[in-house]
Amino acid sequence: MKGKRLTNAIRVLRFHAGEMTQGELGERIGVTRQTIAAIEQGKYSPTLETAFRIADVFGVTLEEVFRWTED
Amino acid sequence: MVCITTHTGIRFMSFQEKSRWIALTANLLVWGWYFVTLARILTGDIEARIGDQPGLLAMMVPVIVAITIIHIVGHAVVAALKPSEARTGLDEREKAIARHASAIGYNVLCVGIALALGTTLYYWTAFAAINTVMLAFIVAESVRYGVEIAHYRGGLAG
Repeated sequence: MKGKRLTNAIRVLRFHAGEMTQGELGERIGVTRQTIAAIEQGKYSPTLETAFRIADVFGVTLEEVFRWTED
Repeated sequence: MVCITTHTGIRFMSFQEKSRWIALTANLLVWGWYFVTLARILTGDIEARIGDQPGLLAMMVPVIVAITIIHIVGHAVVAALKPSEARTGLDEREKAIARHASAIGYNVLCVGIALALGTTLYYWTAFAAINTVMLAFIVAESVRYGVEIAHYRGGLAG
C-alpha cells in the first residue's frame, strides 16, 4: 500500500484529556511511555487490541484516533 | 496549544533500550579485548602457547567476570534511576523489536557457524573450533543488540 500511512490524534486527545501524560496513558493500556511516544511519532503501529484500548481510554471511536491517510 | 516534542536522549530511553546498550557495550569492550588479544597471539605480537588449555581458560575467566560485572552494575544503576520501569516486563513494541532483531541475529549466527565449521575443518583443532564458534556467537549477539537499539531509536515499520 504505497503512498498511505497510519496517522493518529493521540497527542491532541491527550491534550483534551487534561494534558494526560504519555506515561499515564501507557500505564492505563499496559505499554511503556516510550511506546506511546513511538506511536504518536508514527514510529510504531500498535496492535489492533492496543489501538482499541487507546480509543477506549479517551472514550472515542478507533477512527477518531487513527487515520489511514495519503502521504 | 498542542506541542509535539521528540525525546531521544538517555533520560527518555526505556529500561529495555538501556539494557541493550549495556549488553552491546559489554560485548564490544570485553569480547573485543579477548579477540584482539587472541589475534595478537596468533600474529606473534604477544608470546603465548596456542592451544594451551589453561592459557585459554586464563583468558576466559577475566572475560566472564568482566561481562558479569558490567551487566550487574549497569543494570543495577539503570534500575536504581527508574525502579518503576525496571519492574515492568516487555510490552508489545519491545517484543516485536526483540522478535525482529532475533531473526536477523539468527541469520548472522547461521553464516557465522558455517564459516566457523569451514575454519575448523581447515585447522582441525579444538582451539580453532571453540574460538570461531564463540566469535560467530558474539557477532550474532552484537548484531541482535544493534538491531534492537536501531529500532528503539528509529522505530519499527509496521
